[in-house]
Amino acid sequence: MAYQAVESATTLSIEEIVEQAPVMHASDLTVSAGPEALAPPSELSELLSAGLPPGAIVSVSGQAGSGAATLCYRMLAAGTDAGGYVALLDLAGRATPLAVLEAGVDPARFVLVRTRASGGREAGPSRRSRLASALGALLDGFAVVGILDPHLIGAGLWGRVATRARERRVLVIAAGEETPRDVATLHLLLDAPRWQLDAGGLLAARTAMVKVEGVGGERSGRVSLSPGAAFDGAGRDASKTSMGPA
Amino acid sequence: MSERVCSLVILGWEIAVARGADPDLEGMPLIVSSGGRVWAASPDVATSGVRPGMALREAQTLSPFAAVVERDEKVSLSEFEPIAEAVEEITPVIEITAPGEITFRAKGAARAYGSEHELLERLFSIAPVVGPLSLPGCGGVRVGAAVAPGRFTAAMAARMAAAGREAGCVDQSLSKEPVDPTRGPPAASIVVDDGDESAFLAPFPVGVLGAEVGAPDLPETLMLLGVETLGDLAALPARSVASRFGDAGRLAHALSLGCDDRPLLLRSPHSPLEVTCALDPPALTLDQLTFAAKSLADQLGAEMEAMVVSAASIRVEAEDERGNLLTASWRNESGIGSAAERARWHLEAWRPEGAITSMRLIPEGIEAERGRQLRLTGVGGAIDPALEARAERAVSRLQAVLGPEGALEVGAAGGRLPSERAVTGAVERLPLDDQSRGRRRARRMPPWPGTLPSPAPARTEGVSAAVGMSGSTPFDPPEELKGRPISAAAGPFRYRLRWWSPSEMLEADLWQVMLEDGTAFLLSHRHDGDWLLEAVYD
Repeated sequence: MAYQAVESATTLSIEEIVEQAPVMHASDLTVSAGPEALAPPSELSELLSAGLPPGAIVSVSGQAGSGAATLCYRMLAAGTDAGGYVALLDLAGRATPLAVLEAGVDPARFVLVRTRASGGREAGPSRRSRLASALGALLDGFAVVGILDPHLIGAGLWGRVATRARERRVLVIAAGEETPRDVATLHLLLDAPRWQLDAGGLLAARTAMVKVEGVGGERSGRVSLSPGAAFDGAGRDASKTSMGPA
Repeated sequence: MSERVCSLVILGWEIAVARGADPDLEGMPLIVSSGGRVWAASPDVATSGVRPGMALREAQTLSPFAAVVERDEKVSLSEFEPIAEAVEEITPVIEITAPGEITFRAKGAARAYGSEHELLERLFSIAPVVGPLSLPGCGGVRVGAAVAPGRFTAAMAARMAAAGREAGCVDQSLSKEPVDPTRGPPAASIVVDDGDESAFLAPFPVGVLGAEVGAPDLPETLMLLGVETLGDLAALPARSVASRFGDAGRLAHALSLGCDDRPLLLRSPHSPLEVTCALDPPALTLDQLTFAAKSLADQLGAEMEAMVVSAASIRVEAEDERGNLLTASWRNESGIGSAAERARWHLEAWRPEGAITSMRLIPEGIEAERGRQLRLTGVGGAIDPALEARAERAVSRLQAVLGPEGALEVGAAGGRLPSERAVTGAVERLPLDDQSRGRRRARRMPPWPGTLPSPAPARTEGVSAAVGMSGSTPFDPPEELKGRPISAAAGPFRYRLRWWSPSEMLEADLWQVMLEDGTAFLLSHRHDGDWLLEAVYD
């Protein structure tokens, strides 16, 4: 109930919003049944007007550099914005924590999970069972779980993840070059990234074509994928002047 | 209002133990040290100005002929054990605050023996029995006991009684024994009435706080500022003391008013609250073990409930056929009910090689159950405790399976490279905002010169790459990456990091490059000529 109400409230005055806005409980994200969905990040609000359905697996695929990881971080940020605890399972250990913060994820509700044991390589079965335990814990405890490099999870395990996510009403976002298409209910395909450069020739803003495939058909559009504005730390305006590119 | 607490202090205990261990030290001036500081000093050394907590070097300047012995806590504790057992005959639940110091709740015991004075008399009745037996060098030992509101007040009163000083404003029921080896060491007692604690504590010098607040230098600083007694300290506004001295100051101020910093850590030796089950036949599967853990946790929960106690932490121990002992412990925050689940995670993570033959659950840090204070924290006003508890359990479980570094918290930090501007650390406690609040505040930090501007690359690569160059100088932009032409390049951004450490030094030129298909990468050109594909703007 909460999320659509907030979206449609954009034409109301502030007082009306304050008056009418229902109290948002983070638990709505995970335990409630029915049509409630997580409000998607702003850049996807047109393509995904129905929101992100809890209990579903969303695949975000695209070649390296297309923006799949950034979009995954943005969806985690949507989860923390709604008051949920979110986690990112970084299977290859390649996520950049700074980019997660730049995407607007609230660090107070975010846990980065890495499965690599610090000492030595593990044998196959041991790694698989640890991964299964870790996935079980993630799906029990968090409202939104992002998974980077989802091809590192076997097909058998994906079936269990899908069942568990549906039971627990957890939104799972699988982002990478290869994604589990057969278990996902919503596919986001990213393509044709385009960067805008600033006066100094540095990367400034990016757009990419996003094609959404789901049970309701297909939609596509070019969306902005430059979330740096959400991060008000040493932002680009401040640092640009002191940087002095060659 | 603090509860009535009884404290029994044996002054000179450590010295007596040290002399007992080495009879050559008998009659010599003696300092017992621990960690480079004075732990205890014999009376002749103390007269030269040596105080517990003082740096050893300083103490040796004041008393150059004193022998110095390193404290052996194990010996000290084991020597003290008979005394603790004798006290347990009088009252069953006690805290051994330190070797030579016992604290317990006075209310029940005083009622049992008639009055607080009679309780103190009763305590001294053990002294002649235990003292000479367990202490070879007990001649210099003095015993003091006191009943007072609060632990700290009682401990101070007992010390004062043992030292045989006059107390100003309190009812002092002296039962000074003459020095007679057959009757045990001299003993005295003090009773501080409710409401008198701050007046009683006021004349004490601030030096007594050093060991209590864990800041040995605090008393000296206070004295330099003209705050010489606990009364002076108590008269200061609590907020000012806290802002000047932080946590240690806040604690010192609370103690000076007679407020206690912690509940008593009581032990109850007659009913060891541990539950064991032997598995016969040995359990091979996780399900069997989980079942055993569940019944152990239920049993422990029932026992603890019957005794109305709670535990600070719980330890699980499992022994396999080969005699290997696997053990893990955790803070008991979510109650005993979750112990079975926690034990299961650890069993799952251990993946024991052989069959498990026995399992134990041991509660640690037992104290009276007073209910738990829920944290009243929230982010953006909205917080759901159930949700938080779920996340917290998930993090504990992840860390049991993957190790502490498996679940990381992220915070912003200062630095130039993307990898420096965000830091990760193992999650220690949820909600994360307790620990990351400082770091999140750091997000609003001033611009860091030379930062590679946002956006940050979303994924690291860290692989070497074949890069084609257009020219031979480091300022010529690269032309192709892995055979694909580069359409735009910005750089070089020259970084020379950690130049003071040859092993960690990084000297590189960073380049932001964009390929014709619109993908962008971060490259680094090492000073040895190698190119590295650092990260991808994914």
